[in-house]
Amino acid sequence: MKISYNWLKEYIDTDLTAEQVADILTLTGLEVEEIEHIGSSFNGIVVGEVLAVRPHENADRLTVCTVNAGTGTDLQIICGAPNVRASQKVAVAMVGSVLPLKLEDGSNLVIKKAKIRGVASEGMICAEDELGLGDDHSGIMVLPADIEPGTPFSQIHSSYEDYVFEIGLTPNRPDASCHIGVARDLAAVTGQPLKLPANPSAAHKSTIDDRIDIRIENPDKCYRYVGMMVENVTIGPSPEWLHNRLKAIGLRPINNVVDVTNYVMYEFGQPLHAFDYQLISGKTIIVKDYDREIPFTTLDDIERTVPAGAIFICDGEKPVAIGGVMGGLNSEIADTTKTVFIESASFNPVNVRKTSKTLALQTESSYRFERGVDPNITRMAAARCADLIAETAGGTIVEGTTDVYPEVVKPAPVNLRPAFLKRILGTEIEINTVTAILERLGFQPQNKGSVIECLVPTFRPDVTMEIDLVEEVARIYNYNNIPTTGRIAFSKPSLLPKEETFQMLLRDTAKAMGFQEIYTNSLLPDQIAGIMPENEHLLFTLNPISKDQSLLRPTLGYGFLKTVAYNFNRLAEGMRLFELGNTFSATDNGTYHKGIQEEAVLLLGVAGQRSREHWTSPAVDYTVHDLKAAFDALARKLRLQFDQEVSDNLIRYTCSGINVGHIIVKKTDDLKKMDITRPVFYGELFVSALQNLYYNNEALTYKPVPKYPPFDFDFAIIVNKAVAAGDLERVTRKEAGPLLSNLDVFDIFEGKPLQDNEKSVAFRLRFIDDDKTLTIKDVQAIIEKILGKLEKQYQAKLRSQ
Amino acid sequence: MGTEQILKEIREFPITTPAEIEEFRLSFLSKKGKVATLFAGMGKLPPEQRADFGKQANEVKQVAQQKFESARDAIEQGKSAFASVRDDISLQAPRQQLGSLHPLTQTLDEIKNVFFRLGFSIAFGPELEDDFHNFSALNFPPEHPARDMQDTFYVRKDDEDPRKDLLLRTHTSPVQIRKMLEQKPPVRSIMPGRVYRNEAVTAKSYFLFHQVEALYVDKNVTFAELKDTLIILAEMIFEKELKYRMRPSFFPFTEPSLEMDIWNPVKNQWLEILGAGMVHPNVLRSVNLDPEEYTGFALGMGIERIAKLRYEIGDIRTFYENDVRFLDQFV
Repeated sequence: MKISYNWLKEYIDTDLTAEQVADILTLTGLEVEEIEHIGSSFNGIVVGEVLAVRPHENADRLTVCTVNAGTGTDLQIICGAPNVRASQKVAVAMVGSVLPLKLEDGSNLVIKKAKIRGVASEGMICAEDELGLGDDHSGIMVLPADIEPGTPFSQIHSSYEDYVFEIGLTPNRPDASCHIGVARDLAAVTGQPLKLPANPSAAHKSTIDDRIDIRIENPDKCYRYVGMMVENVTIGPSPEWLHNRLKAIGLRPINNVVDVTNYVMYEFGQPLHAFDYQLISGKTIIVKDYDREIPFTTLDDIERTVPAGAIFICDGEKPVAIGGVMGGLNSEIADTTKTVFIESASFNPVNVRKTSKTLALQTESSYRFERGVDPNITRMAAARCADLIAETAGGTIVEGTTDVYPEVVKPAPVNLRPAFLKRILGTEIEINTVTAILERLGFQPQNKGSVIECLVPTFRPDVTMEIDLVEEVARIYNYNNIPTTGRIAFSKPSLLPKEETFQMLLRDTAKAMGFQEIYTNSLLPDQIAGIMPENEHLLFTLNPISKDQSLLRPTLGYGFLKTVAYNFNRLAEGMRLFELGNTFSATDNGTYHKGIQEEAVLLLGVAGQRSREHWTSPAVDYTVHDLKAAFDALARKLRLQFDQEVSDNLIRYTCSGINVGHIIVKKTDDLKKMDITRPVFYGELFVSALQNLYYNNEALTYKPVPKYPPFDFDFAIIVNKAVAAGDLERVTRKEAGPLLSNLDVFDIFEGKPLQDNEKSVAFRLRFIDDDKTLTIKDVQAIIEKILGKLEKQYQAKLRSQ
Repeated sequence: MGTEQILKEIREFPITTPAEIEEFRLSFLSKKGKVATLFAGMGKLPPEQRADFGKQANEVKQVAQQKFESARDAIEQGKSAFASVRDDISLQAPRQQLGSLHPLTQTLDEIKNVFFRLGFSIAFGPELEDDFHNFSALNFPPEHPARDMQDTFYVRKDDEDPRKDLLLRTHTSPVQIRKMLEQKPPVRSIMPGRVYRNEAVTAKSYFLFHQVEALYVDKNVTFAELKDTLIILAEMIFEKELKYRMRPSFFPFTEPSLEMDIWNPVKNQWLEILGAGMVHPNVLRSVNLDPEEYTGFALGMGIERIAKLRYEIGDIRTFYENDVRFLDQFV
């Protein structure tokens, strides 16, 4: 919202600069996000006479002018305009003057002595836009011939200079959506009195019921409706002062009547609407809603479908305005309007907001009504509007005001205990300071010792409780003035929850294994079936931005594959990635909410090359075994024993019978759908299951390292190719018993001299006994037992030397 | 061991130092070496095979002898004879892959560590929340605009009790409610996590981002103490003394509310870094705490915002693209 510095000063006497005012407002809670300097004082701009022109020797388009600017010495000025001629009177910006023209960095153009293509120039002959007077940059401004050179430009063109504050208004401050409201905060800080315009409404005691009949059918949606009339007006452009006010705050002047309604809105915060009285049929205004959608053409000539329940202003036949949002084309002020009917009303904020949102139509009016307009300002604003219309558009005010106000809103009492103020703020503010602040903000404080009784003005609907008054006092006192000590105290800190410690452990482990962390989207396209495992328990948002972001991720796999495809497309060679994030699925029970399973998952994934081509090694692609290695290492880190169940393209990992995760080997076709044609493998681990298992471990304590040397034994067996090596390993481990300290599959082999359906798997077993040095005699029996079992179960033959 | 196997071992035995020559000699050519063992085993063979085997064993012996002698000669002529192209220590080493944490995790970790030093613990809650925790208990009036479908992603609407509507949490504040319902004061904890807003994707906004909030509820917690905490925090997070200001702001769940700005001398402007305030009495009541007995403060900051400041990242989308060339900068 834009607030003009000059305009503010109509309501408060102050010597503060625009920057100082902006700082004060920001520190009261009206954050000034930007200050814009508009217009110019025309200091240093004078009238000059062009005495002679000659072409610039080094530039075709430039002219060297000799100018008499009344200084006694002729100036040489380079000009680029095509229309400059000798004997013209022109506007000259003297060296040192500051023009309203903005440079790229946002600063103003400062005129300096300069050499332009080797020729000195002492000033600038200005075009309209360079003086902030318009958009015309086609040539220099040519002034009337009879003006004396040296005349200040401000004498022939009234100067207008202002600063405009862009305020980011918080939703709790409807009172500050206007200049008087902002001035009130400024006054509360500076202590200067607030100067309100004289209340004109006192002059209109009678009604205008004989000219128009006003009724409210829905007092829950329209709290008050005030009507006034001005007749015999002449519609035309507004006077310059009104133009300047509106242009400063970024409003386009339209005509004297509409401009006045906007002016009063920015003055008091009361949105107003002006109707052409002749176009109100039946001389009746009915404020009502409809239980159905209504097509309605607003004054911007767009036909809109207004939702059922929206409040309308209707005449005897039809709707003429959407209450609090926008007027209708059918009753707007036109050049021919003679009699103006002024509406000043108060609407239900929620109803206005819903209508405005449904229509995607936010107006200056709806912006204010959504936040809450003081119902007790309605009548005064109408009268102020009538006065100003009569002033700017001629005409006379029809004696009387019709004011339909079914339920009068009165200031509510709220008390502030100084002890409570101190308890919240942690500092004691002098009681006179407190009451002075509350007084200036309009709360009419009465100091009763242990309590300060206040009456909340109706323009502050946000203040309903004692704590609200605490904030009022604190913000005007200035948060930055509340003393600090540089020390804080706190009670015994709690232990960090296991969830935190465990997730840190997982992240650190993944990082230590050389994985890079990614953050992927939790909202996925609705069509990921066919790429991801079938899942019947999907959850969707009811109102997605688009179908591509509607599914709550049931897996981290999709995000991983997306990331891999994104990077392959950018010529990445290899990736080793992990993510720790939440997944969602529908369930019968649920984690936090019934029916919703939300759980943390750790994804580990590898893609492309494990090592690139280098003199130390050829390029090697990742295999699923690289990923399995990471799973194994993680299990080691967590001191857990993972078991694998292998099916076609899935390895399911369990631990003590509990499902802890899986590795999925994606089909080439599925990967192609994701635009991936290189090796990619990923797996997921369920964090809470792992966490429970991990914390069931015995505490980590030192175990002495073996005193006796190990005994290694190698053997290779031949089995049918269909036998899974993992099964051979599992049986071998089991049969090897407690002396086994390590098992490596150190070689596999197929081809001659083996049969076509045979393969050889070579194991290296390391045995350690804590009590003695092992010899072949100790190990022989174990090996025979293993070989016997393997032969019986898998028809394994020892591959002999 | 067969002759083939021994031959292979001989050929592959690396010799580049005098010590390795000696090791080679001991292993193959000494009295107990593998070649001698080979000959010793010949006696056990049937007579008809001995000649053949002897021939092969002799070949092995010659190969070993040759390798030994040429290595010994070479070492006498000087070390350079041993240097292969691979021994050039100026040769480029292979690239060592480094694991890394995402810059958002790194930023959060640093923020967490500051809070941990200041005696805060940490708490978690679901991303898929109900209206009660996300809005009602946090003093959002029933008609608050944040409840609109335009602003919040809903997953389930409950016709009978709107407080049971399920939605993607719009802030981490619902974890404050969970924490206060679960634990009597003093409560001193932070709540980090992912949050969602139904917003268009631009360089400045994304429909998900990450927050960390802090909550302190006890007897006699004051606004002055909040200010002290914020100043200490900001200086610890940014690791320097800062020029700062606090200005009033508005959040439904705190009052008085504030936003804290720090001065950026390079850009010559104030930068907002966090929002905070005293826990609203209505919030304390919603978790059955008496506002006459307890007070508290809460504060919250966007992790993306802090990470953008730290690393001078202009576009928020960069965080979720996971370009490895981006991630590699944060190893």
